[in-house]
Amino acid sequence: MEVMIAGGLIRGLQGLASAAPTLLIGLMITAMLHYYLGAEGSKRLFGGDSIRSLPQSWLIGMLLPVCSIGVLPIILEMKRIGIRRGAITAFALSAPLFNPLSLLYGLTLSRPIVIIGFAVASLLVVTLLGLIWDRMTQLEELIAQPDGEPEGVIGLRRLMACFIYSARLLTGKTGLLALIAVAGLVLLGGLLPHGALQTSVEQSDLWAPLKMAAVALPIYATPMLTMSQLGMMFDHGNSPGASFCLLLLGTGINLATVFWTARSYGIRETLVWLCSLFVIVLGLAYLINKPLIPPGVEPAGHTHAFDIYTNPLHQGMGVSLDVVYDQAVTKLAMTDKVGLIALAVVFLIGLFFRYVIPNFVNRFMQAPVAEIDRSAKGLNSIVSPRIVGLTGLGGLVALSIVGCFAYYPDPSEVLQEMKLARVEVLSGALTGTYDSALHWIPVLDEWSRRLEVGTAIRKFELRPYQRAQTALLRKKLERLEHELEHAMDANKSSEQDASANAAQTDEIKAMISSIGRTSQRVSAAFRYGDLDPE
Amino acid sequence: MNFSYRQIGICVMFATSLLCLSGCEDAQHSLHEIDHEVPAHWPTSLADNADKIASRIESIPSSSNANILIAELEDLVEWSPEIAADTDLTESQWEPIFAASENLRSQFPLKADTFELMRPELTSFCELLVTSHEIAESQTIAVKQDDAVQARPAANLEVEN
Repeated sequence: MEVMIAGGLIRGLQGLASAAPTLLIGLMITAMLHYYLGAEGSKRLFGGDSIRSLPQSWLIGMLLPVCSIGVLPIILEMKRIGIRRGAITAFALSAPLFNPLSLLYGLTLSRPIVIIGFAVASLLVVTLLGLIWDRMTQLEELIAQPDGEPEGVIGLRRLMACFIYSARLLTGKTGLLALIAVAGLVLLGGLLPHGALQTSVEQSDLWAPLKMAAVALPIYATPMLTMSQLGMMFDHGNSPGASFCLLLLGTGINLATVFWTARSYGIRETLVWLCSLFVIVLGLAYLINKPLIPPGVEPAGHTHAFDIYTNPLHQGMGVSLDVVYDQAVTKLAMTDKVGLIALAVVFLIGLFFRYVIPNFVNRFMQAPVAEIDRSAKGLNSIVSPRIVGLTGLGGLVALSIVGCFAYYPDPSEVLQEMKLARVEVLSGALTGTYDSALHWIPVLDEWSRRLEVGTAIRKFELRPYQRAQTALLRKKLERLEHELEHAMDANKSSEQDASANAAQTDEIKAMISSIGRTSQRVSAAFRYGDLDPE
Repeated sequence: MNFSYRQIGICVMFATSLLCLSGCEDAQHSLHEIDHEVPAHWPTSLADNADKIASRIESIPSSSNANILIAELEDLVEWSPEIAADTDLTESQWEPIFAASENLRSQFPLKADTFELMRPELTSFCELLVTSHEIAESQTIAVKQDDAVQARPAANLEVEN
């Protein structure tokens, strides 16, 4: 029982940490829609009542860097200003699936056509679902609910109001919904034993997409995490249909999305919406299941992609606060820690403005200001809130693109990073410090993917030989990871005899040598460009 | 927020279904209790790959397990680029294997009754693998000699010291 509670708690905290950055971005976008675009501008941004509202909402969702928790304040705002349900669904489902960073990452998985196919299929899903959803509400009168705040204020005062609005949102419905979303991870972490989903999604298993769909709803995952999971699934030759279910149902929605839909539109209609979503996604999943099986990948018989949703603690393991702290806090990446701290600060500010001085924004916005010269030209000219808002949103998209180049550096820089990581892996494996080697293996794996994307976005091509070498490196790294885990288990249990130990050490040495050779080939393939190293 | 009994019932049913699902599989005590399954016909080298393809080309027409052999043959052709990538072949030497494998793969799935039509292509693919294996072997020897030459001054220096 302690293992279940502690495991659930750890998964919840990890989920909250990974949601923090995109939740903050979601709050910022919501404030921009509220103060800059306004109800009319936002409606136009999402296509209004026209037929193009569904694909337009899908496209905007694809461009904005938010996850299924970050999308929550935005859909709340969309509903408040009276945007149609179909467009809200299209945006809510597509925004967490892809962003420029994850889409590029996705191109390194299997064949590029797979991820492009997934993106097109997601458009199909949101369009069909949006049409069904809109059809159910044709008679509904969509009126923007007034927010009771003054208009026409510009400059720093509006920026300040934006920040306070975001912070206050976090302490209200948005914060509650975020906790409900994270509760899904707590539930899964508590209920699913360690490694329970490792063999559930084999490509030969006819039920794999259905099984994935069954557990996908409470899953919360960021787009980048999902992409790496899809990568692992394709590397292990798992079911492509199950991958599609994970993407649409795991990343696209979470418990909070369903809860909010039920609260806003009623349980009966939500059930119709949810059933339609499952039927469409499962239908497409079974349709693509066979054609998208990657060629030349032998099924590994398992996957570690979903270990992150199962209990991180083993049965029978001693549970203490130190263990929970170590798993939930110490192992967090620096970026996650920074995001979590920023979220906590914004939350405290929000509490202050919600409960200590609740009318501050209205008073602040209504305070008299110096007369604005509306005829001023040049840099002092007054631009409409819509232009400022659209520039802000465009800036976010531009920042995502710049972020792509920063996150996927030049191949020469990546090769240097890979060299450092490789030294750590190999020296750890050789000297018996397996913990260190196991820490660096995923790092090296991650850099190998960034190498591919970094090359592709700069040179507009990724040659088959380059893909083959990086895939081979990742495969060998995973085998080494397995071997080191075995060696660690054997060392702990002391059950293995001396000859078996020697054989295992020889095996590890052979793997190290093989990884060294493949690493050289990876460097040659990416460094020498079109020329052979000779 | 008020929850009705029906809503609570749905939550309980959902949690129960998750428990049932998780109960279908035993808890793992280590993440690595499950190893990668290496198929029995996984080739150890390009030469082995060529041998395995050749033996299946010969066996399929007369075998009662033709369908199994055909599936294995398809695997072997699809795996060839990976096997070749794990040798000292250069990129330009590797590309013909990849191109030929992709070309053959585009004609899959093979059928037992039309298999004979594919025989010439598969045979020449085998020959390509054998030739490539010889090139890769000679290049591996050259690489090892280079490594030995580079290591020698360091060894001499140690002896002198």
